[in-house]
Amino acid sequence: MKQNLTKDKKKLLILEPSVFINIKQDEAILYDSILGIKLVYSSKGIIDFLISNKHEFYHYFYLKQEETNNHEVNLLIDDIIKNNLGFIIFINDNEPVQFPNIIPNRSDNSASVLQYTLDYEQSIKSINEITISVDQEPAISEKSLMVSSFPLDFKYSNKLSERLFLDKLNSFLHPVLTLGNIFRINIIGDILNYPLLETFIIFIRKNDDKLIVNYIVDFEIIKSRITFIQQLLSKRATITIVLKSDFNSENLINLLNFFPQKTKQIELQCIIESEDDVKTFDEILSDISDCDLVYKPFFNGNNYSFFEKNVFLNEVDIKSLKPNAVDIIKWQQLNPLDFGKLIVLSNGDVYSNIYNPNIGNILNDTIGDIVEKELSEGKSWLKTRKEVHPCKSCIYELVCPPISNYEYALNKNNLCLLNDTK
Amino acid sequence: MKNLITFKTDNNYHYLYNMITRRFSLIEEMTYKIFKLIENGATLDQVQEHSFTEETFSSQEDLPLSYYISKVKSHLLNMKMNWSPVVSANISTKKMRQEFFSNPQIVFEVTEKCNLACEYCAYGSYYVGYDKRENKHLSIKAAKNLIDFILNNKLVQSSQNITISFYGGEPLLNISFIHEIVKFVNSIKTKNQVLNYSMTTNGTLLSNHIEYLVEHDFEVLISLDGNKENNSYRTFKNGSESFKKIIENIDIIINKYPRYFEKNINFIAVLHNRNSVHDINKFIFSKYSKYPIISEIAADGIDNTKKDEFFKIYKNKFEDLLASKDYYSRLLKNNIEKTPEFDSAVYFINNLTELKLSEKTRINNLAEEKNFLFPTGTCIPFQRKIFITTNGKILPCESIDHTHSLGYLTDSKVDIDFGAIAEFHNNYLNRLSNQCRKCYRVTSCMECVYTMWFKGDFPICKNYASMQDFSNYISKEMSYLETNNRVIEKIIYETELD
Repeated sequence: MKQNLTKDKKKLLILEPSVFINIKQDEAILYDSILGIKLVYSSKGIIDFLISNKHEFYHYFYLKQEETNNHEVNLLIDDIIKNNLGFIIFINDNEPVQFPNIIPNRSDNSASVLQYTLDYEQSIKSINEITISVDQEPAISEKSLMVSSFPLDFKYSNKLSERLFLDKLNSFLHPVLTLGNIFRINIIGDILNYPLLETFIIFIRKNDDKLIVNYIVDFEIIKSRITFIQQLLSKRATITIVLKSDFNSENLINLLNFFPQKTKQIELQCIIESEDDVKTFDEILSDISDCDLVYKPFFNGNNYSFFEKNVFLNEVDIKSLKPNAVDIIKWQQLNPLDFGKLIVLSNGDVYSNIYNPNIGNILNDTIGDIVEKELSEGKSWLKTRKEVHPCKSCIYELVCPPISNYEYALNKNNLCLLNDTK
Repeated sequence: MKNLITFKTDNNYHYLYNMITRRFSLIEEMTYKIFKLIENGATLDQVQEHSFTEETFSSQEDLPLSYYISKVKSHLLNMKMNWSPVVSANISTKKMRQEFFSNPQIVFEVTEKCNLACEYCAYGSYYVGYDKRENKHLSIKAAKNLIDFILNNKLVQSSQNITISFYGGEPLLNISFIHEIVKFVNSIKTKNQVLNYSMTTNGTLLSNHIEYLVEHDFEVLISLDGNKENNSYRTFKNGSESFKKIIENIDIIINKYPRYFEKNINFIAVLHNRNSVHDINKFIFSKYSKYPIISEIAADGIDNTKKDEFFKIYKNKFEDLLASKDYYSRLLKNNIEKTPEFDSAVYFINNLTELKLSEKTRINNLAEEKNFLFPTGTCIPFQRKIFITTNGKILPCESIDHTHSLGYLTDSKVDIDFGAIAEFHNNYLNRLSNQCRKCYRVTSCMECVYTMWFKGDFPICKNYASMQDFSNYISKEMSYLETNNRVIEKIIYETELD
């Protein structure tokens, strides 16, 4: 499978646009986002070639005559051609164009216009989820309660004075609601005891048909409140019912039987703290097929080994990751798990991620102020693996999913056994 | 319509262009040939068996045909050969309203009055389609109504940057309007709203009002076509030249307010048969160290009976540059970003490649297949600005003739019906849907329906592109990037893409 490299002409090793490349100190990866093929190299000769022969901007490498006799470089070329990740062409006085899939930073490190063009107006348009807590505050203030599952990232508050003011919320949300983009509002908290619930529902509903309103509620609280559920479902809301493994399955079946036509609007979120929980839920819920089931691993402070075994990625998992180009480009620039999402607590504090400091308050700041602050000073929306240890020195950072709340809850930067930082 | 377009550049490189994703892929010559056969109806099996063509593939290559066939298959794994986008305008009333209230610029035609009588004036004898000029001023009360209406309904209350521009006639002939509006705006704006003021002026009255303009930090664009001879179409009403007066006024600003001059004053020059790009740049740069905006005389809305006369003074910027060979070659060498080809490459990168999209993935999904497109390149009304004529007509831009008014401004109200505008706009655009559906420029069109000629009820687009036209165009642009290898980095890192 070798091309004849002996001709006395200048040559380039071209990479296909679908190929992403990540070079670290002593390793390099070439990943084809269409074919899902990964080529990993740790030989010094290859790393040196990849670093020194890459065109500053375009997606190719210069191939000098002497390098075509280098065994290691030939191995690389052979791999690339054999796997359809690229090819060699001969060039004339002018060089061809092969645009990169990720715009490289300038070699002189001068600021790129491209990196800072995101403005708050564009970002307001991209807000896709707002979680409103009608009567709660973050649980994470108590370190021993480090958890990681919505809505268990919150705890109930007794500060009734902090109940959310609807008029303030209305004017805060106004710009987003008038844009008419589809977005989701999650309502969490002690909804049943929220005195303004009725008004709240009307307020949310009047705004837009494109709004997806989802109430997240604990099964133990809601299990006997048929009328309440009926009311929410009739308003086209969806309900996420949070189940712990000790729930009473008969009660759940009885509850769901009241709404045989509406089960598509109900999601069951199963809190998983151990392998036994998985078995329990599997057994009990196998018959409840109409509702969406989501298994949500939950860190209760004492089940690290469960996470290590079942949630962390091992080498095989990582090598089998096959993200597409869109995901890779996104992950290199922002954190899609947080980007466009805001959390509003009952005291008006706004967070871009509940584990990071608040970025404003609806009583004092507009949504524009808040978005602008998150983009300039925030720690959530634009947080990528490129900037955290140990991911920043790992070649697989390119293909790894973004940082989630689990990392925050477990107080480590990665969920990976390859570079475990526990 | 084809989605995949293969083409060859002047430097003999081969490419595949994906219309949907705007992705260019460099391909080998053999891969190119196979794609060409597929375009002509061959199947990959037929290519493999050599049954579709007698051409021998492997004579000059070291790799077997099966290798190239597998490459083509690999390309086709993720790309469609054909594409049928829905080309239709369906802007909602809500969207129209939203654009109006979130627009970044209000332009007031302060007065029809002008102390100059420039030969090529857009309200002069060469043009039709504008309201009769009667030296009228725009009503202050009506303008205040509009500002009130907009600022009270701004969608995003935070950090709003709004530019209020004064346009004419010669706006300084109605300075009391400008004083009143600035005073009014400053009195009602919220702490988060940042108001900027700008003005285009012929420069003859500047010295009388410069203190005021400095005080309110006006951005001022002065019309000046070059040296005295170059500027000779810009005469006073009595036929005397305006050049001397303008230069005197600029000198006053430089002497009294050098920093303001440096930061806030720019020039705009019109190209015609009495100047050249070289003349204009040479005069303005050597005198003021600034590069002016150089525009061609507007060639839309010309009175049919005046066409011959018009084209005697009209000059195309690119042709003009090619005519000044020495200057042009110096520009290419030292100042390539001042060449029209560079502008054209910026447009190309901005609209026909994914480079800009990769930035936008921060907010949008890159992979979103663009199956729904709008006919033409017409802006959504008010997306960029709101233009108000002296008669109170509300237009989306000053380049559009006055018959396309989308609302009226009076002393008592702002008469605007967003539903009717949406319907009117959609209807206008949809008259070109069928043509746009077949046009390969559909994803990158710059044509505005409101400046097109009409044949009966149907607008005539002069820039329809067949696949061959389009392929020639992208080949020309890629050849330019190949030949000028530093251009791409200049565009990406030093040019504002959006």
